[in-house]
Amino acid sequence: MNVMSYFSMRARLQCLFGLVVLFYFGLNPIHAYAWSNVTILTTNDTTAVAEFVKQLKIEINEQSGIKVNVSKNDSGLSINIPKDTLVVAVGTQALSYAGNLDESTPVIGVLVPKSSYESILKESERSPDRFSAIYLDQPFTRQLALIRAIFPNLYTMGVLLGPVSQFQSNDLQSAAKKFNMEVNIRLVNKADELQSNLEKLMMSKQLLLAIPDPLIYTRETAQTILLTTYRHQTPVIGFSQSYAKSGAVAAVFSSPKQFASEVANTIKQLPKDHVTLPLAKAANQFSIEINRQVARSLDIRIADDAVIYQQMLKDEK
Amino acid sequence: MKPHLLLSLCLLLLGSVNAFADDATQLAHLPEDDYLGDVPQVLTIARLRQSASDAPSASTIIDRETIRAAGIIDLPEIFRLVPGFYVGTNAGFIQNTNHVVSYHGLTDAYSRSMQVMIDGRSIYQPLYGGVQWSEIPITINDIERIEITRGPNAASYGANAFLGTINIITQSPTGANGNRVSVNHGNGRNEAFYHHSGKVSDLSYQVSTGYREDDGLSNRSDFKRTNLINGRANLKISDKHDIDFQLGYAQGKRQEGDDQPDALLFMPRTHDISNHFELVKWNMHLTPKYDFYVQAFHTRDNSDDVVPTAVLPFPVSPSVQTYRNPYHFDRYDIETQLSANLSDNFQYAVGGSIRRDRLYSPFWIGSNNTQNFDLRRLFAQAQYDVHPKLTLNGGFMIEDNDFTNTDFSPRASMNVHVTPNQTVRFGYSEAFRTPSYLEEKFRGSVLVTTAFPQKLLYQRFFDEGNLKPEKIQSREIGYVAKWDRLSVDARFFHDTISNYITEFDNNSFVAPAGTVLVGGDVGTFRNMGSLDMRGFETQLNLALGEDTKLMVNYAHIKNLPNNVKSNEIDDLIDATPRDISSFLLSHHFSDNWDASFAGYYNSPVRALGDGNPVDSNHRFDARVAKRFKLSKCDGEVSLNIQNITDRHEKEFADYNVLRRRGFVNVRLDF
Repeated sequence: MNVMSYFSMRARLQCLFGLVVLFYFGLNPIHAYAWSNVTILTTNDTTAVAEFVKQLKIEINEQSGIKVNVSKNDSGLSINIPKDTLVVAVGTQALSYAGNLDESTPVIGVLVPKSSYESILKESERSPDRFSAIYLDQPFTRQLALIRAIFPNLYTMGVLLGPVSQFQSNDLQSAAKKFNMEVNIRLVNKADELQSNLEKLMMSKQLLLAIPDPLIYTRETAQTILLTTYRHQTPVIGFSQSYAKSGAVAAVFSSPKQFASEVANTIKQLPKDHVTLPLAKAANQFSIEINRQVARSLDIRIADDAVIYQQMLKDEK
Repeated sequence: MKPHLLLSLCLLLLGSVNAFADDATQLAHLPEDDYLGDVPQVLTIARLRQSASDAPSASTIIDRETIRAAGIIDLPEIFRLVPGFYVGTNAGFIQNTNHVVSYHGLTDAYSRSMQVMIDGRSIYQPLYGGVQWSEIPITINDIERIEITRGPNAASYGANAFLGTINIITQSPTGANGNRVSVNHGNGRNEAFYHHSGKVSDLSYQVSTGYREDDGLSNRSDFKRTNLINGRANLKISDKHDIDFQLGYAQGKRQEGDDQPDALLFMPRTHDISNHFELVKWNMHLTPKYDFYVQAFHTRDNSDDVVPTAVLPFPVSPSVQTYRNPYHFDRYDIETQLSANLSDNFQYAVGGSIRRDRLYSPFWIGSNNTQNFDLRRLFAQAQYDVHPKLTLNGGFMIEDNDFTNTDFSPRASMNVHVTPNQTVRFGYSEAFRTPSYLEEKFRGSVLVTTAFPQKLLYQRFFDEGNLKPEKIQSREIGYVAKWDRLSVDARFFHDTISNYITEFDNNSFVAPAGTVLVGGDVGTFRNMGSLDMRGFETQLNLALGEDTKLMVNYAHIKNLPNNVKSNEIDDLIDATPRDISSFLLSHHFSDNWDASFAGYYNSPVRALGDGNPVDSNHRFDARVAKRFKLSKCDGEVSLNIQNITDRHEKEFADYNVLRRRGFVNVRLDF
């Protein structure tokens, strides 16, 4: 083989490889991912939403060939979504608006609590495999795993449920059974019943597991709840990072970045030419926040975050 | 108040409650803000307290549930459930007859060796020292918890936090809208209180008011009638700033006097008392790591006593004369503190305060001038975790006052966390007790004009003054353990009190010209000798099941006076009960029924001052309570029997005889 023919063959091979690469990544990206257009639908610019959008753009980088648009719409009117576009609806309001879109438009809701997703799904009469979500809430098993990791010998706990959260009572009870725990539930139907129900719960229970409900756990009631439980020297397990920083002993949550990563993975993993979405579920990735000052004051000694995290991964299964 | 009146009141107020009930917002969708929104830091550094295993001293926390279970009607009674505390009913008869609460003995009617505060506001009285418990303008229902430090705590609270410290924490307004009516009826006691809490915009507030009738003990002139009102509000300016406001007012009649047949001075009479306080505290939550507050308060006590006396050892006419004993006291105090949490391993607090006490008591001080007493303080304390198994605490207080100038009180402790559940503490602390006006400045006298050419002078005290403060050096080894069902707090202590202040005859007193001294010796106070106190005390809290709790307390104390006047050695030894114990057993039969049983014991004691020898006390109390629902009211009715065996219990002195007493309490929340 002479030098020329070697060069020529090498050049041809390189050219062919270049074409393959070009074809694969550039010329026909539609064949690479199921959806080439993604519209992020938002209704506000809160820190969490902004963080999520920023991270999702990074995760679905330009090289993927997927075009990412952000559409902010705070009225729900005249939302124009081009065909062949997957919608990532950020927040309950956005998901509610997305419920009015054409049935053929696939929607993934994110930063949306499970109960909100379920009621919007019902109202919109959409099919769950075209109208999916990654829940904002953590599964009960994960919350119980956190409790088990911090309090290995705890078997009873108190829970306040309100008008929105009371439907989760059975799910919670059955999850608790798996962890050999007993849950004492008190229903709060009106705002002014909160304090008395909390006091009654505190009389005998060793821990308060906070389950989100707009009547019970708000920015305004945080002081009542955290001061009352602290007065009874009862630890609270929160459901958000800021609740733990405010005074709960610990919380398990998924961050906006983690949600962005999960959504990006979901989009990237959708099979080509496949029109259905995976069913709604909780995020796989999660973080924990432990308020060591509060734990310390309650005389609760907690292992390092990494140890607790590993223990949770083990127990959640 | 009759039950049907209560019910009417309850129903009347329901109208206002319903207005709030409609606020319940039932959203179909759970907004994500609940998860993602910012929640202001509630348990800030300033609100968190050290756990028992990290704390530099032994402490006992009495919470609302314990107060309720013990069936407490008179606040000081609760201290029977604190290891090492002696409580005597209605001690003394000279200046506001009150319970005596003393720790580790040296009991007299005014138990000067302990600092007592309400929400950090000192209610320690400067005239005699001690606390006028029945004058406090708060109700038992207002109390959230009581923190008792057993041992000197001057590094935190300054002088007079000598043998121990009591800090009564009242409930802070939560913003919850509610009303409570509580009525107590029983032997020699009737009282009714009303409490309301609510919220207007960013202002959470609560008000308590009530009336109390206490007929006191049989054969004693000690009835009390008290009207009181207090209010507390919190104005939230922002997530980082809020202002607390507190005020209270109490007013009433007090009967008191020496009922003994040979009484000469302080014969039975009735007089008026009143007091009020105002407090404002600005809490600044600067960052998650720094909290800062500025607090200012004023208190005012008034008493106008007209005292009948038969001072004369020989008959003159009239044989009983009266003299006026007006008393006005103001305290102005400003305090500031910075708390910091530099890391999970290091926290500190620094601060300072200035105070002025103004006392007008011409009868006791012998001067018509108002007495000013100024106090300035600087303090700092820190907690450092050297290792997960070792916590160090250090702190000090420097204070400068008009009686004893500058005093320095340090404290240090080393807490070894032997296991995650068990801690052994080695502690050392020093504290001072500033002399009271009784000890430093009393010039109490009665001048009687008779038919004789010269006036008769009965001079009880003529203080020489210039006393040094009493000093305590306290060493202790403590043990704190907490398991699922059992917690233990125990400590061995060895305290040395030096410059002990005691009464002497003032032999150098010369009666002024134109008077004849009558009625015995003239007293003064001097520093003399020292005293060692050694002992052991423990508190156990045991959960016997989900619904049954048992608390057991025991203390053994021994006093060893050194270099004290020989005729006072026995007095000092006997002024401390050698053994003190108590228990509280409580059980919830169901959500609606619960009962408790308490027992109290102390060995014989001979209190100093107005006290005299009393035998050991054994007392058992029982309480049963039922909760109920009445329309929209949550209610509870309870029956509480004190001294169920009806023993003739004598407390503080043989003139205080306690028999069986029963009380019914009805409480309605709506």
